[in-house]
Amino acid sequence: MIEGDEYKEIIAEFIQGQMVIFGPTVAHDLATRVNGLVIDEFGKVKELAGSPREILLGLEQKYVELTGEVAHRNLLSILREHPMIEKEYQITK
Amino acid sequence: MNNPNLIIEIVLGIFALLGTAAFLFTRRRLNAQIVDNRHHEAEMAKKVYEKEVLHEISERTGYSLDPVKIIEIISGSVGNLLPYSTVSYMIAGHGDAITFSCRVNEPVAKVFIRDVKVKMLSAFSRIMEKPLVETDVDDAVSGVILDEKAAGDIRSFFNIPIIIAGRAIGIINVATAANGVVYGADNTEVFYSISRQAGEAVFKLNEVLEMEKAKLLRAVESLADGILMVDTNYQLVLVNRKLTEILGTISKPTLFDIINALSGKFDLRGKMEAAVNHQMPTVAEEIAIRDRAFQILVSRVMDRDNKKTLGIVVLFHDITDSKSIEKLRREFTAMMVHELRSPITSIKATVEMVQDDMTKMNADEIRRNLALIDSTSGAMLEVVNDLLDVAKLEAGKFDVVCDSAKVADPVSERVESVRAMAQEKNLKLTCSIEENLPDGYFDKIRIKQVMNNLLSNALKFTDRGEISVTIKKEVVGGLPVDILVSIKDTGIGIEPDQINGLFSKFKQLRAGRNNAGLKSSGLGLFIAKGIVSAWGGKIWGESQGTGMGSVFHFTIPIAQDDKPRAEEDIASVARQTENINRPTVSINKVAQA
Repeated sequence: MIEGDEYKEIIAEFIQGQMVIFGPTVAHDLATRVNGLVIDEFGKVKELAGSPREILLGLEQKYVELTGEVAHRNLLSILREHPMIEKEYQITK
Repeated sequence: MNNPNLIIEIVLGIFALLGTAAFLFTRRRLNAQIVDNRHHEAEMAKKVYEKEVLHEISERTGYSLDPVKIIEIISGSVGNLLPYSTVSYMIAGHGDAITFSCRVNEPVAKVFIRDVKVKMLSAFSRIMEKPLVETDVDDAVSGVILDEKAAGDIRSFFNIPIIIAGRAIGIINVATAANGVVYGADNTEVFYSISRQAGEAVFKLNEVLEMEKAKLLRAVESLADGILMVDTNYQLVLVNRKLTEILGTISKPTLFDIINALSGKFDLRGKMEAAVNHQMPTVAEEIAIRDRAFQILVSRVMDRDNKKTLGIVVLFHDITDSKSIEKLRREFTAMMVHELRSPITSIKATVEMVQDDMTKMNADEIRRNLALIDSTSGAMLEVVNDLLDVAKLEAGKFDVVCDSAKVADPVSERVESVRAMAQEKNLKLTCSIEENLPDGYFDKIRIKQVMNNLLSNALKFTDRGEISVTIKKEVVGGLPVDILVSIKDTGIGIEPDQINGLFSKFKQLRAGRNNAGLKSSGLGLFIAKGIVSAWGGKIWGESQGTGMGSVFHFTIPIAQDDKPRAEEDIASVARQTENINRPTVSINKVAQA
């Protein structure tokens, strides 16, 4: 899988998970505030304009600001299925 | 462009355009300012509201750290900021149990509430990272009556997870059936902020509480008494280490282990039930556990308002020592009564005999009987005087008048006074005095009392051999610090572990020493200790054991210019003398006249 697509998949899964946790509108609103991230109404990623890693971190930041560690833990569990990106994420963190 | 009218019209037109543009620009600025102000006001209102809710939460959490209450406060405040149909919360209970509570604000159909519950369950399940089943959920719906004709679809909703110390304890859901109401990030942020801050506040309070709890537990652990506490369901809340030592149970016993250890001695379960059911605040009972005596107190633990029973606390107080002292006191009193009654009986019998046979007795016989009465009453007087001295010592009214004087004089005088008695028992009596002894600081009269006691003990308990008295300087680090008087005998001796007991009020010379057949109050050494302590000296005894003889020492401070030594000098000497390897007895400070 191309790295960009993998990021799109992770980001979409992350947003959709937050939609379940916080409610669709709140999670969607926050995602749209992230620079370079374009999503549809279901949280599917339409476009990543810029560094996918930076976008993912920015998105995580938005959700963490809302309720703290819940979003972070949620992202970690998604990343477990994507070891390469998980490694990148750990280094960046 | 030569037409001046046209030029004027163009200029006027430009002015008009500029005016219109200026007007429009100003109006836009004003509008923007109004919008800004409104936005600012809304922001301020949000902040004020946020503060108010947090204040309310902190007020309530001041009394309780109950997360349910916090969730109720947050969910109860939703209506102040947002239109909503239902506000619900879901809380994780013990095990897999989950409580779902929904307050209906506007009529909705039953399916609406079920949908809310399902959405919350999905969210909660994802937060807790474990599957949650709807059947484990305990429902409670309140508020407006459900209407099946009313809306069944959720138009918008949002969830607020409640996280304390990184752990999700519950989730709040706000849902609406109204068209046009949308819960986005902007109008819900305040709730997330409140819940986050409430979670942090509770976490901090819990930390403080845990710290205080840990302190309390350490205090309970270090108690000299055994203690246990159970809740109202008789579940063990705490047991300290001392109790496990007392009962000889495993380090973390169950209530059953404890009840079992007390079986046949104390009905713990019954007493706890009695304390709770019969409204008896405390039950005290004395029992013996593994050769020690304990007083057991069973008390109810009440809440702050003294209305609700929170549990039962059971205290095991070791009363072995106090019972043993009480026993000694009783024995002492009985012995004193005996010591006084015996001579009185003897005196009375002698007086009656003289009265009856006065005419038949010659002068020698009468003199002999009177001498017997004299010596017997003298012994009685000694016992009474000893008792009075003890009473004075304990009341701090025992007179000890200290002065600078030669120690050798009163000591050798007392030695000479008992020489005849020593000869009578064929005992060798020596007195060795070191040359150039400095003067001591002591009571010249009371030292005789101390010597009398030590010499009479030596005489009483020595049947053969010798008694030697020595007076010498006690030197520490090359400097004389005290004058040491020692009375050594070759008598019956005493076990080393019993020697300190000789200086106690109630402990008499036991067994062999009493068998010497000599009568006394047995208080002599206790009084001697009081006297020696009063002049700042020490008194102690040494013996290798029964039959090995004994030696008793006491010290007298060296006089300095006929004045008592300064406190720091005494302290300094005390520090130096700590290095001397000798047994010590505690010193009672006695008030000086």
